[in-house]
Order: sequence, then structure tokens, then C-alpha cells
Amino acid sequence: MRASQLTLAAAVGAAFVLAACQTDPISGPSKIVGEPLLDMVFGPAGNAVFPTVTGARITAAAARDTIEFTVNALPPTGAGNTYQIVLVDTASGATTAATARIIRTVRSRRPVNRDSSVAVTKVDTSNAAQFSIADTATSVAIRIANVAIATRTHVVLRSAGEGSVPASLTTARTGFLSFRFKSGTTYAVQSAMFGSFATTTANRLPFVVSAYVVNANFWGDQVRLNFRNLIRPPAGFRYAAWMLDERTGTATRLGGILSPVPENAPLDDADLGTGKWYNNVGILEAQVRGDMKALNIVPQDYTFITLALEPYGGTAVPARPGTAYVLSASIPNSVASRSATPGKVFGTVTSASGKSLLNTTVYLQGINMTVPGQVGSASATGTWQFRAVPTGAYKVYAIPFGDAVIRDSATVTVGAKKVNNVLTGDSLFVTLRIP
Amino acid sequence: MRRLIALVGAVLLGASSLEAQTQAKMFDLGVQLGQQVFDKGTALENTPFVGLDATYQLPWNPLALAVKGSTFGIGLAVDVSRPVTRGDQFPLVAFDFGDTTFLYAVAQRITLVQAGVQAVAGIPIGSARLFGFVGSGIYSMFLDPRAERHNEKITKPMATFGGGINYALTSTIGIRAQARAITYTQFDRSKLDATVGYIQDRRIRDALPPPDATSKTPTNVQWSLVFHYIPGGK
Repeated sequence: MRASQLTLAAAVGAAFVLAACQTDPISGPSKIVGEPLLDMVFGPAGNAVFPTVTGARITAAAARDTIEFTVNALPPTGAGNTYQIVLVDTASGATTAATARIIRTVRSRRPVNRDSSVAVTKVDTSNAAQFSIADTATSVAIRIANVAIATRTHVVLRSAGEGSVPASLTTARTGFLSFRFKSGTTYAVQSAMFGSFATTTANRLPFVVSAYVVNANFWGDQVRLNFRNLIRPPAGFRYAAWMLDERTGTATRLGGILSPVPENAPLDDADLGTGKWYNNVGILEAQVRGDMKALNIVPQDYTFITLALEPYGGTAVPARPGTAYVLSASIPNSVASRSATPGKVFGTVTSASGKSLLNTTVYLQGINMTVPGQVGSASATGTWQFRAVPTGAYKVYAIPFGDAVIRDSATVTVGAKKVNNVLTGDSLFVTLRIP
Repeated sequence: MRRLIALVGAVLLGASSLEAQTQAKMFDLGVQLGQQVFDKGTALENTPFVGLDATYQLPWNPLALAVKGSTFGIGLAVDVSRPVTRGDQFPLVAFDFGDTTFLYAVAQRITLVQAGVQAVAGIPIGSARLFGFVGSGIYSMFLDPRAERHNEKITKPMATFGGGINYALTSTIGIRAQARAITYTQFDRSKLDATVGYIQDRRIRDALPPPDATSKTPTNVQWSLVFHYIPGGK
């Protein structure tokens, strides 16, 4: 065979050998994308308390000029926002911004020591047609003494986010809490309704928890919640997602609801808006996108996540979420291991007196936290470790077995670094000394 | 190294006397080795390929009067490659394991065969020969039965044109560097999607950026070196 033919044959052979060397793993060329999702069971909140009216009554005297009632569980208002007290006549739509005597009572519990606490009650009184709420645990006693009562049928509470009180109402929805005190010529206080009020009964929309949660996930540094068919919030209210720590009371607002990907437009007008994502009573589809990295929080510092109702308006969002939780989920314990950059804090406990080190309790507590986030025990040789520690600053302390006081502590800061182009948390060694 | 350079130089200088190796009524057989660069809208990763071509130099040459030493032939070309689809161009799928869900971009390795007829014209330029060609044919994609759960082949027409430069190494052996544009017709990217609806992820719908714009007539480019053999070359 001539050299040229051999060369050609060799070239053909080499080409096909090269082609045959192309192999894939048994799983094929598919690839995992991004961080694994940590699923949550997101459903109706068992600890929700929606605004209610109690003790409503109207004076029995012939004048019929005074209405008294107490409002509980009103969500806090943001800075610059207020709740308005309005008297409405459903027949004519006529309104009166009712100046009232308002007594706000805030009851809170202040810890004295580990085992006991004391209840603190703070009361302030004002005369106005609107009021604000700063604290979740506020009840508001309202006494309206106004001659207009005789010409009106309903008391309606509005959020000032809806705008100033109009001189008369149309059939459109307004207000979030209402009750009737007059039917024809008969004065009788009826049950209050939490939900959008309207002069025509058919247009009213009582608020009930109603939603289909498509899914709720932690995804790396993000929280993603997807919903369908959320009922519209009461007029003047909107939905917002919060993460809360029931142990410390810490609350962080993740953000309001948005239209679905890829639009991601705020749906803060879901109460009365007319956008394409709404029908008469519901929000067809919505999502929450919480960026924990941007908020500088880690999920381990919180115990549950909730979609709550909050009044809009004013110059800032509320500082706290209130208790109008519509949906919620406990944050899974395993979330710590899903931190984008979990580090490790490990070390040893030593005893100067040769005391047994077994079961010395070691605590890892965030610098700004009041309770430890992770707890472990030392081995007989004094070694201990926390395997999944998110980046941040911590206090590590040890209490020997049978003891009750902190014997030694250290402050550590878990940072992050790139190892083989993968972001990894620091591994830190700490020595704690006990007597 | 100097010896290698000297050898290459000698070969290339020698080529000047071999420019006429391709003559009328002769066959030219080539082995192609190269890379196919796909249009982004095809959702295919660039891939190496191997191919064969055979050209018969016609005795009738329309360029003969205009360019001395020109050639004109018709031939066949076929190449085979095994490109991988780009999983990021298709919906992600979700696999649940307890409280954890993994998102996968599903790709598959297909077998791509491109074959066609082409007309080839060449003109001598110094010690080399420039050539160009135009043709048409078919492309066949054999999908991965492991990913698709069935055997599926997609065969559609294609058009091609290109050109390059040829060096004769001996009277019968030469080497060509060529570029070829291949335009698929009736292309449907969704046929390469190996995902099934019930496991497609609907949780993180923006985990990937939107897919590249696709077209029914994407144009891909092949770069190749062709080792060719001319039986009876002079």
C-alpha cells in the first residue's frame, strides 16, 4: 500500500478514535443549577389574630349621640400613617370624620429574671379623628360623641394610606373595619366586619384567609414564596412577608408581594387596584422575593416566616408586623446547614482543676441575640464543635455540667473565603477554660 | 524545533510545484477534523466533528476561460459529531428529596449527521489554491434514547457554502483549511428539550436567564482541517 493511502487511512482512524473517546458520566450531561431548595410547609397561620371590635355600644338615651367600642389587634402603622375614624351613611354615602376620645392601651411583659416577668401597661389619651399604632399589643378604646351619629349608619375605620376622608362615598370599597349601629330608625350595634367596606352590601369583601400556596422555599440567600388566588387585602392594607423570632421578638420585613416572574412588579395596590393580576376578589398569582443577604440576616435567627397584612401609607413601612398573619411556616431546623457559606466553630474545653469535662455545655450565640442559636456538649476530652455556622459574629461560652453560670466565653467572627473558587465559611478553633 | 520549521518550510515550498495536483476527471477524497460552532439559538454546545468528502473534478469547467488552472467539481460531504444540548435553554426540572429540592438543567448528547452535495470551484494563487463551494443536503439529529425514553431522529434540509485554502504536500496528499456555513431549515429547538412537564420546576422560575432567541433557520459555522488524497494525482 502506498504511503499516501496509509496516511489517509491513519487520518480516518485517528478521527474516529478521537470521536469515540467522547464520553459522559452515567447521569448524562445534566447539571445541578444553583443552591438546593429547602422546602417549607406554608399554610394558614395558627397564631393569627385579626383586628376585632369588642364592647361596642351606643348610648340608650334619646340623644343617641355617643358610640363606644374597643379595637384590638390593629397592626402597627408606619411613620406618618394613621387610622381614621369615619361615620358613614350607606344610603347617601355621606361621611363624617369623627373626632373621638381615643385611649390607647399598650400591654407588654418585661422580664425581671429568667423565671419571672412583670406586666406593664401604658395608657395615653387623645382627642382626634385619627390615631396611630406603634406596638402590636395595643388596644384602642374609642368614644365618639358626635351629633352626626343620628344621620349615619356605620362606623368605619380607614387607613390614611387611602387618602383623606371623602365628603361622600361611592359604591367603591374603602375602609377595613366596620360595624353598623343603625338600621332604619332602630339603633343597634351589630357585629363588626374585618374587610373592605362599601356602601352597597354586595360590594363589601370580608377578609378570610384564602390562598393556594404553590411553594415556599429557602434558596441560597433568598426566600421565595409563590401564591395563587390570594384574597384581596382589606382596603388600605397590603400583604408583606416578615421573618420573626418568637424567642426575642426580632422581626425583619422581607418585602411586599410582587407579580410573577419575570415582571416582578409590586402589588401593593392589591386592595383596590385594577391591574391584570387582580379579579374582583382575589390576586391571581403573586410571589415574595426576600433577599436575606441584602437584609444582612440569617434564617437561623428566626423561628417563623409569615405573610401578614399591614396598613400602607405614611413615609415608612411599619417597624413590626402586627398579628394579622395570613399564612406562615416554621423555619426548618435544617436551614442552618443550608447557609450559603456555613462555617465551623470547634474547639476544646480545659479545666485547671482537672474537673471532668464531659457534658460541659457549650453555647453559640449571635452577638445581637439574647438566646443561644446552637447548643452542644463537650466530650470527655473536652472537644466540641458546631458544624454549620453562618457567617457572622458570635459569642461562645461554656457552663460545666451541674453548674449554672458562664465560666468562660470568647467572641468569634465567622467570615467567608473562596476555596477552589467555592465560597466557604471559616473554620475557627476556640479554647474555653473552666475552673 | 529548527528541523521541524525547516521541514514545514520545505513542504510548503514544494507545494508550489504541486499546485496542479487536482485535475479534471480526478477524484479528491478528504478527511475533515474540526469544530462546529452552533448558532446560540440552536441550544447546542460547540462540538468537534469528523467528516469525509469526495469531489469529482468535472471535465467541463466554466471558470477555465477566465482563470487558468482553475478547477470545478461536484462532490459529496458528510460529517458526524456528538454535540451536547444546552440545558440552560430549557425548563429546569425539580427533584425532591425529603425537604430538599434540587434543580437540574437537563442536557443530552445527540448524534448529529450532516450530509449533502456541493459544487466546488478552485483557482490557483501562487503556491496555494483557493476554493469555494456551495451545496445543500440534510441534517439528522439522533436524540439520546436515555433522555427521551424513545428513539427519535429529526431530519431536515440544510444549505451550505464555504471556502478555504489548499496546500499540496505531495502529488497525492494535501491539506486544506476550510470554513463552512451551514444553514438549517425547519429547525425546532423545542425538539431537543428532554424535560417532561410534570417535573418541570415552577418554584424558581428565574433561576436561569431567559433562553437565547431562536430561529427556524439558524446558521452554524464549521472550521476544519481537511487531509485529502487524490488517487492518481500528478
